[in-house]
Order: sequence, then C-alpha cells, then structure tokens
Amino acid sequence: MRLAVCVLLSRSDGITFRHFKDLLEETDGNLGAQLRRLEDKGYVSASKRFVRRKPVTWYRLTPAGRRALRAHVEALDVLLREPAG
Amino acid sequence: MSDPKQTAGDLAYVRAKLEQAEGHDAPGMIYFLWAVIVLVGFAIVDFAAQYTAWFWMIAGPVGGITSFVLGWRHAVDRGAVSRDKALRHGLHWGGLLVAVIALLPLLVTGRIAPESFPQIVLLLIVMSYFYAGVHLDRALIWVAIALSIGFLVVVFVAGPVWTAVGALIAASLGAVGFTRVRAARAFAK
Repeated sequence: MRLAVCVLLSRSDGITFRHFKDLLEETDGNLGAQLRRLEDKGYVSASKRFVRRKPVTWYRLTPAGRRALRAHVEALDVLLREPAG
Repeated sequence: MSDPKQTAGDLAYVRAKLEQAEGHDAPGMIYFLWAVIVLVGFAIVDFAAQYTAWFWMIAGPVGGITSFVLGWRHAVDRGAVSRDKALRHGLHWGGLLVAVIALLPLLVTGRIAPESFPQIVLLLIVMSYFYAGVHLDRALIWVAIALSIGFLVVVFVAGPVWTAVGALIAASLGAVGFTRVRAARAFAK
C-alpha cells in the first residue's frame, strides 16, 4: 500500500486522506498508520487546508520521497528481471 | 529477498489503483455546460446567423474559463490535484481557441468564404475532440465521432441543419457527462 501511495503522489500535486481511503479501500486506522510511517521517514508531507470550510489533510511527496520511490522502482525492476530459481 | 511473484502482484495492485485514479476525472458539469452552449450556438446558425460570431466569441472563452474553474474545483473536492493535468487540458483547449482566432485573418482578407468559415471551425473542433480523446479522456472520441457526422451533414446537406447537428453533439456531450456523474458517485461510495 505504501508503494501505491507514493506512486499516486508522484503523479499529482496533492491527494487528500479521504481520496486515498476511497481509492485504496482501506480503513482509517490502517491508512493513517501507513501514511504516518511515510511521514516519519520524510517521504511524505502533510498539510491541513480548508475546503468548503472543512479542514482537509493533503499529502504530497517530498523530494526525498521521490528519490526513494525511484530507487525502489529501480530495485523492483532488477528483481523482476532476475531469472527464476 | 522479496519474492518476485509477490512483487509482481504488488505492482499489479499499484497499476490497478493508478488506472482507477486517472480515469474519468473530469466533472460531468463541464460536459453539460458545453452541451447547452453547443445546442444554443448551433441553433443560432440556422435562426439568427448574424449573431453566430458574437455568440461564439463570448461563449467560447467564457465556457473555456468556466470549464477550467469547474475542473479545478472538482479536483480539489475530489481530493486529488495535478497542476500538470490542468495545464495539459488548458493548453489543449486553449490551442483550439488560438487556432480559431488564427483563421480570422483568412476570413477578413477574403481567403476563406464567409459561408465556409463555420464548417472549417467545426472541422477544427472535430480534430480537437479527437486528439482530446486520444490524449486526455478516451470518452471524448465518441463526441468526436458525433462531431464528424455533424461535419459531414453540414457540408453535404443543404438547408438549416445546424440545429439538428447541435442536438446530436449536445446529446453525445450529455451522455459523456452522465457517465462521469455515475463514475464519480460510484467512486465516492
């Protein structure tokens, strides 16, 4: 799920918690925990803004997050290219 | 060491979520707006041709700006914004406006016959919707098809046909709009 979060964030300028929840079909607790882990590592930043007078949390991928995602994707690519066995 | 099968499964999950996120994200209201504009703007050609240019000079840019605002607000309400996507849409449709404006010197200097100008503009719109369908939103290909049929009708059928053509195009825009509304409701459930 954390990979999906980072990939989705890499293709946008901001995604809300609610949108992640609708898209990834996760519980508040599970999603919140995964997003917190990404925030703790500095890969994702969170900010609160008001949309139609309601506070909404927006997430963005940080430059460190982009670098980490790129490295992770490259590692996955190597893994998938390895011959089986 | 990660299991390649597990990794492939994880990537398939990510790909599925990406496709879900990137599909059907224009609000239905934009299509309904243009359905109304087209219905009125095409009927004017048949019933009050002298106002056609004025109508489209105002409705075109105003509709475009309104669409941009609606699209951005929808993205914010939906909870996923992308400046890159907004720019792509803006440049695409802004390009159509520029192309139509670029035709005006040809009209004014007599290189295009006034009676051919609406057909040429319609052809530009057909191409714009086709390329929008290819690059922005696949559903717009259906609108391009309706526009193409309309183009052939206005070229080869004599008489006041613009109203009927406008109704056909408005219906295709409305149909796409309804699919967007349904998709948005299904997503938010």
